[in-house]
Amino acid sequence: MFNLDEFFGYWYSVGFWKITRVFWYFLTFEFVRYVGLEFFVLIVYRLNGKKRARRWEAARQALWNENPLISIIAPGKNEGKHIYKLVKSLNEQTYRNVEIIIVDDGSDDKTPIIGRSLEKAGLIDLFIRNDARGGKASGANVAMRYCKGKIVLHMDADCSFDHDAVENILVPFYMDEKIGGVGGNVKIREADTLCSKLQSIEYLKTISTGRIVTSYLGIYRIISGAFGAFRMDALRQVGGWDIGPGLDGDITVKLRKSGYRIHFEPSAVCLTTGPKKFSVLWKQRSRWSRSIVRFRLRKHRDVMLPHQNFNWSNYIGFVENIFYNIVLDFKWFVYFFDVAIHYSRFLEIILPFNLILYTITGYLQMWAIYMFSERKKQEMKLLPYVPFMIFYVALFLRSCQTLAYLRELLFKTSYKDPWNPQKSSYQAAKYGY
Amino acid sequence: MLQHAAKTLSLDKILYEEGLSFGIVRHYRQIQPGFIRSVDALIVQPASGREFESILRELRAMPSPEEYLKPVFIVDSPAMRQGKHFDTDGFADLEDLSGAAEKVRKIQSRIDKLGSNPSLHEGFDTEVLLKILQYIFTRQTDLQPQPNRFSNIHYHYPFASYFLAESEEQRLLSIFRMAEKKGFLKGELVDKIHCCPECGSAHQNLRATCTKCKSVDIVEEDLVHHFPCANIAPVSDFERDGHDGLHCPKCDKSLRHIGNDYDKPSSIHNCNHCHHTFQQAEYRSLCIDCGGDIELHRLEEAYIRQYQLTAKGNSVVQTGAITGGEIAGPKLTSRNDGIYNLDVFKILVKQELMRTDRPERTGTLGQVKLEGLSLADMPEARQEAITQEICQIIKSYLKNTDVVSTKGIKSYYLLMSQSTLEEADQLKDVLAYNLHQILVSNLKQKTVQVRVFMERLARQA
Repeated sequence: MFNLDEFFGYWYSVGFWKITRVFWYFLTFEFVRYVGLEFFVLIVYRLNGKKRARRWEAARQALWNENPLISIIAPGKNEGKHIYKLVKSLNEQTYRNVEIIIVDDGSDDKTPIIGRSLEKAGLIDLFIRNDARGGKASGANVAMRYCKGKIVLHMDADCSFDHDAVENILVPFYMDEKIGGVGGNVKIREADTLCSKLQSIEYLKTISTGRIVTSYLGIYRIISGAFGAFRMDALRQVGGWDIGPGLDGDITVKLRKSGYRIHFEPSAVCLTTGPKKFSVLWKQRSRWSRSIVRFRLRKHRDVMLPHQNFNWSNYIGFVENIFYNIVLDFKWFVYFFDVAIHYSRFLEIILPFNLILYTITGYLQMWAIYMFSERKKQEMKLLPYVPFMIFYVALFLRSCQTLAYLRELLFKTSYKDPWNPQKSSYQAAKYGY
Repeated sequence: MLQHAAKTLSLDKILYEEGLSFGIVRHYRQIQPGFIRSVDALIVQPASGREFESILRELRAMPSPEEYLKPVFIVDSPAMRQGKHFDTDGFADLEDLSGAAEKVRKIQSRIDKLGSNPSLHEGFDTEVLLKILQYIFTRQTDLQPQPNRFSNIHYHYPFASYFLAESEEQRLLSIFRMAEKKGFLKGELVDKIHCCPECGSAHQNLRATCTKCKSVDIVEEDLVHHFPCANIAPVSDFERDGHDGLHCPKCDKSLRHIGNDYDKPSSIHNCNHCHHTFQQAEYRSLCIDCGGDIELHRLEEAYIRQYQLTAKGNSVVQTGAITGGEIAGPKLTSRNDGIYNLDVFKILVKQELMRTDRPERTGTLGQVKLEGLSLADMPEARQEAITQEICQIIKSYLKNTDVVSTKGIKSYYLLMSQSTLEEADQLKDVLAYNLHQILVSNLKQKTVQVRVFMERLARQA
């Protein structure tokens, strides 16, 4: 029977160093990175709010004075049912000087009919249908080829946007001319299953606040494909998107390597639909995890090597990404075995304490999220699910990621992923992309 | 004698074979009632295809079945081989007309079986339909449409097409539809045509146009997808001056093998006029006749069918039983404003005749004829409306007890039961003058002549 007095008495009696020895993984890596560093940066970010607001307003004025044409592109397969809602959502935007280009990448549903109808009705400017599926990157590239705008907004067709999202994602380009890409704040739309609710919390932590931190530190490394803006000249300079999966991270790295700054804009809010089942989520996260190995460790490993265009912020961003995603993932298992071997008799005390630590951290992070959230009431409803996050992150995601990393490291399974057509994957593998 | 006749062929020449006379016709002016009635058949030897059509148009427009159903043959010649024989009863060998004579006898025997033509007063469409039914009956053949590039509907119907101008052949299709609906004809689909919603012409030029500015100055290019680097762009982006083959502008690799390292998943159009880009061109139709630029969905589909006479149609032509409601052609119904349809008018005339048999009673029968009235571009509905108006105008000059009827836009009948011939004669000039003025000024019918006849009502009238 679990005794609370015994439990707290034990941790009180063992002292600080013993606790540090047992929870070294959490205290050394996770607490320092996700609580210490993040809170520090978020506080500084908050304190700089007024100064940032003045710069923001000036940039916003500059945007409206120029009022440039913006190209909105949405490539996808079998997304027909989402296109009309997407267009309606875009029609509500405060920024209206846009052209909308939808690419149908070999859909086998009614997408072509829907797309052509909307094009004929003048709701979208160009609908491109590729009879043979070429993959998401090829869809984005063909759209880019016909974009006439100064800035390209890449989005997923199943997304919808706050009424000022497009305007807000454009403003940073007028704050700093070296910015080549801006990432939007992607949140989960309908958190109606446990799977969706846990993803909602995860997105809030890793995107809504996590990316404020990485962007502030200059190590922001992935513009979500769901909602990202790119300068057209920068996009053309890097040759557009390369074959995925993980093409959104890839193009961000390409832009950074070309000397462009990347910015995250928390006020540019986009809502997307996450997988509602853990089985579907597993596949999605496996794909994302494989892409980290494929693009960070292989394709863009030169970022971590000394060369003519070596850039410290790129280097730090890469190292942080690889360390916290891949190295710590494996190291967690080292920690697990360490505790299991050395403290096997105390597991019934250690595991609950772990749960308490992570839950307290989770609530602290949620508090930070609310400080920056525009949907406080809605996101308040997620609070009861925070204790589940340890199981979601430590068990579900970690298992999924570790397996995906291993399979990619050993077997290069990303080249066999049906997410891309085999013809493209075969050629990508052949040339080592 | 026959050989001699053939060698000395000249205008109005008549050839004889097996007791039958074959009139040689070279010019449409030869189509005169006297001449047509004097021969059993015609051999048409026009100088041109146009002349041939003029001859048949004149012949088929004649009022009597003995005239408009007259067997017609042509002499085989290069000019007449271009589908003209479908409009006739076949080729005639001037050296031996025995084959033609046999056909003439058969046609004549069928003409003899025709009933009277009571429905000829029912309007133009009904008149045409009756003639068509009679033609099919006498020729014992289906009415087969022939492809014809001069026709507004791309098809020419032997015999039937000569009743209408080439620009009016849509109306012929509506006559056929009416006949099918009434059960006189049975149609079998031959083709579908697409007609201009404005002018009815099937002479359409389908063009791919720009979806934005509707220009035809558009260029289609294949899209090329280079698999290794996921680049998709129009094929021109992959072409380099002075180099064969395709070269990827993104990854600088040569494209080697379609299906292996690249493919062409689709194509795209660019407009040279407004520079709009679009994948699916808008197909529109240019009407060659009226110049209308029409969206394809607005084109009206019409069916071209070949027709055969039904049992009901057979019965109609033999009994002459097309009366009143049999054919839903335009007609004037009995009304209380003194304007009656012809059948009712005839009954009234008969009753009036019985009444005026007594010497103290008097009455006058009148007729108004409009000659030189041009109806070429006038739709049937308009003709009917004008006919009604003319009836009312005539009626306005008559007494309340007088009645008016019409046999179509060109001919009107007056029954003036309370007027003597002298009284009626006084009306003739006024009626003729005023009607003429109205027709000239309102309908721009400058060539129209109004002739009014009055006759005392008697059995021989």
